[in-house]
Amino acid sequence: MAILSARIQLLVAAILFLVCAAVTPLAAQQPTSVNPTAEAVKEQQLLQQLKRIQGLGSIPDVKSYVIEQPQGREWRQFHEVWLHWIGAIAVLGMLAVLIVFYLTRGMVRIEAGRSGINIMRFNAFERFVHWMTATCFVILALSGLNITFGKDMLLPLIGPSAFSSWSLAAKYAHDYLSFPFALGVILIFFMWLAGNIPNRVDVEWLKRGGGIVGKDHPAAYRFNAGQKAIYWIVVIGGAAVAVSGYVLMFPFYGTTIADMQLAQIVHGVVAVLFVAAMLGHIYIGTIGMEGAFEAMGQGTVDFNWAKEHHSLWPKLKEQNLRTGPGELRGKPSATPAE
Amino acid sequence: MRAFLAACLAIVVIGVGSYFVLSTLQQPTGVAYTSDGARIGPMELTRGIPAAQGGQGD
Repeated sequence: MAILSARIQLLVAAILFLVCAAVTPLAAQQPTSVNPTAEAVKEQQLLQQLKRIQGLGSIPDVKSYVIEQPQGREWRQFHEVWLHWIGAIAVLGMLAVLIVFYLTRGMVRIEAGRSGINIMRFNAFERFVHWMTATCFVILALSGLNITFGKDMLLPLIGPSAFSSWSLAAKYAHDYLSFPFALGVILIFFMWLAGNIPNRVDVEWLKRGGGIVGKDHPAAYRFNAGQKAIYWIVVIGGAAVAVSGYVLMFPFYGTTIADMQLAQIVHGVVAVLFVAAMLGHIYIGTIGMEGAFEAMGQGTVDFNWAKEHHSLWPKLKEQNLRTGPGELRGKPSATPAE
Repeated sequence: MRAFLAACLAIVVIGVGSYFVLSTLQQPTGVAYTSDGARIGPMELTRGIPAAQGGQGD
């Protein structure tokens, strides 16, 4: 009996052993609930949490270790989208206004006609400084607008090879012509500062719209309020683009990435507004007003032109004393043959 | 007209002069933003590295 009991116990133990041995491999083949990749860091997750992509590098410039950051994406939005809109509205808007104005108002004529007597308005040095600044401005404007708009507007027209050659030359011109431009702005500031301080006469001139509509001729000294506005736009705008431009030309000389981004924003916005303002200046100095271009072209203006547009200019009194007020007869700008 | 021509001449003189001045002051980016141990282009292979070490590979 005891032997039978022992044999039964041995049999039960063997059966249990076999059952356990069979279950364990089965259990090992079941799919595990642990996902080994769940704990791994995903790049997208990092980007969403940290809002930046950065790592380590071997070159000394640690700024290069940051590949992407929120401020960079905002700056990209500015210079790829907003600046394009600001520039297009400013420049094209000004062109549209000038075209409409010329078609409706036409050229502002010398009402009394030309007197035939010319008086000196700008001497040789003044004209030299103006043309040095103006010529540089035109080249800087075209090359600068190419940086913003060239890829979208010019590249499809002329193709990549011509566009890259043009852009390379434009970039060099933009950088190196900045120096004569900045010099010109500084000279203009000192040269014409005395005549461009605003005064009460300018307030009255502005109230009467400068006489640009109708036949009004508000009084003005050597420079009227419109010219003073152009002067200060050139001085302040020129200083802004020059300073921000040199920050961009000498990258990270004491500036951070944020500083460079700010410099580019200032440079871009001021530059396109500057271009728009100068379009108005070019208009009024060429086709907008009879006798205006001669002032900077030859340096002299007609006496009647000066009397109508700058009646308080001291030089008029000098001329009047030399020739006498009664000797000046106005000739109509289009005199029929008699 | 003479004032305009003089201005153009001044632009060329100042522009060319600034090119030479800046060339002496500034380094190419491949030199300014790299070190002897990290090169970014074939032009920098000879930058400060003795000729005997050239061609040993990375």
